[in-house]
Amino acid sequence: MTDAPISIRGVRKVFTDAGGSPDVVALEQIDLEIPARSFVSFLGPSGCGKTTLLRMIAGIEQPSAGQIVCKGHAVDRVNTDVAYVPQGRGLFPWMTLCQNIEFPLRVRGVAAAERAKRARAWITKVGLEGFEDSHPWQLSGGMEKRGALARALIGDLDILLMDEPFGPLDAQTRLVLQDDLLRLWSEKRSIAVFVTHDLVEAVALSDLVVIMSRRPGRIKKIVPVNIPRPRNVFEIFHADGFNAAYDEVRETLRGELALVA
Amino acid sequence: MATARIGLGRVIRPFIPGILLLVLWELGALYLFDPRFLGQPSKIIASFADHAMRPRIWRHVWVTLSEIVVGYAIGVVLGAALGYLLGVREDLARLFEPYIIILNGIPKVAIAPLLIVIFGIGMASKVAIVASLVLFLMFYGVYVGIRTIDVDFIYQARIMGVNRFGEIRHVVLPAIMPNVLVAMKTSAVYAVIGAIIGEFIAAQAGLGYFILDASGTFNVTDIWVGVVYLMILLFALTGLIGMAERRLLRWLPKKTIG
Repeated sequence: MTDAPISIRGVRKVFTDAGGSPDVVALEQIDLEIPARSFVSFLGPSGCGKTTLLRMIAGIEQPSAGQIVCKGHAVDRVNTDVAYVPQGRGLFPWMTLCQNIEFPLRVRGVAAAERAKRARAWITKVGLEGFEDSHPWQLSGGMEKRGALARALIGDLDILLMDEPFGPLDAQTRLVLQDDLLRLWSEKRSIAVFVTHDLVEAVALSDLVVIMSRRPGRIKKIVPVNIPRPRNVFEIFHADGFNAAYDEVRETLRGELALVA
Repeated sequence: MATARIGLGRVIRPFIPGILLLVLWELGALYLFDPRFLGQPSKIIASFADHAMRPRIWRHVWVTLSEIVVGYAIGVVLGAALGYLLGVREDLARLFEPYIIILNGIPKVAIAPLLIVIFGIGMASKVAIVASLVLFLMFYGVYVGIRTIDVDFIYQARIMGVNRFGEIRHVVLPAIMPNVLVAMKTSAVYAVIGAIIGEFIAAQAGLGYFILDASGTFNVTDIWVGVVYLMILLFALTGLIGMAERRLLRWLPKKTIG
């Protein structure tokens, strides 16, 4: 037993199709302790179950075997101790940016004036002043992701789960958002669990890179990244410790990618 | 000056084809065909205005409007409730969907005489016909809306800690609103049809009765007058729903395929 805030113990996930297709084993024998104040990435080829693992921590999916313990409780229903930035569309399209960012506070019954004040502060922090009353379709992909990030962080929770949040963005916008994310995350240093298939992104952001094999996903290796913080993602290639971590991750991943490609 | 002219042109332009059509119709009635069969716009307009001054037509308008509004309300509420229930309960959906398909397959017009036998020749039977038409359209609007919600939105809200009521209010309702409003607009048209058919079969009042009465005395002008009053009713109804739509669907992207 450990007192790590998130503890994944012997987790297996099988997807059964009622239509009679053979069962798909998505994850096999996952054991992982995620320490406090750490930034952890799940990295692996597509279909390796990294998103499924994140969704299980969020309580959206349940393990077929094993257990996930979050802050001392087994996760057996939707986990309200975490903030979650989903893949794809980040915000509710029917709410304005401000209503979206306020929503987690509204759910908790925070008074309207207080909500508005805190939402405005976060909108400023993520650089979206002037777009308070815009609906998501009026925002660019990068702006919508910033909004989603603000909405995840406004609740001031200890755990932040992100599922390929910057996946569909162009390279420039990605860098800027990675930089924003690190800046905002380091203010509080809650646990961040980040799913990505981008090797450089994983190394640049994380303290630990959890490398997963292709299906059925198993943890192949956990690579610690010893780049000092605060980090500059724009010049991450020159940072101390980047090369060592990058090479180790790439070596570990090579076999997996070659098999898929 | 120039801008004022453009503004006026914008207001007038949509009316030009309609006015042109009425002028052609009027000319045709004068020189080309017998207006006793097809009617004549000038006479129709005069009779329309004449009727508007007298209480008789307003009684018919009131009867038809009441039938439509009450039947529509019943159909919308029942259809939406059923659609929601079967949308969220897959076990119930599997059990009842075949029956809904069968019931929906019955042409409501064909069972209208039955509804009149059951509910009498008063307003109740027309309310029943209208409700039976609206109910299925609403059911499918809400049911399909619920079934096609992006479940990730629901999960996101639940992770934020939303309760059942908040989930319906802040996520489910807005997400299905486009489907609901399309169903409400379509069923408004069917509601009007339902009321008129009921009144054609057996009634003592209403615009359908008025039109049938006019046709009995070969009064083509008054048939048209009844139709015009009906159209005004329909436009008022769809206009109200359109207003709700503009308010509730502000968040939808304003894009067109072009």
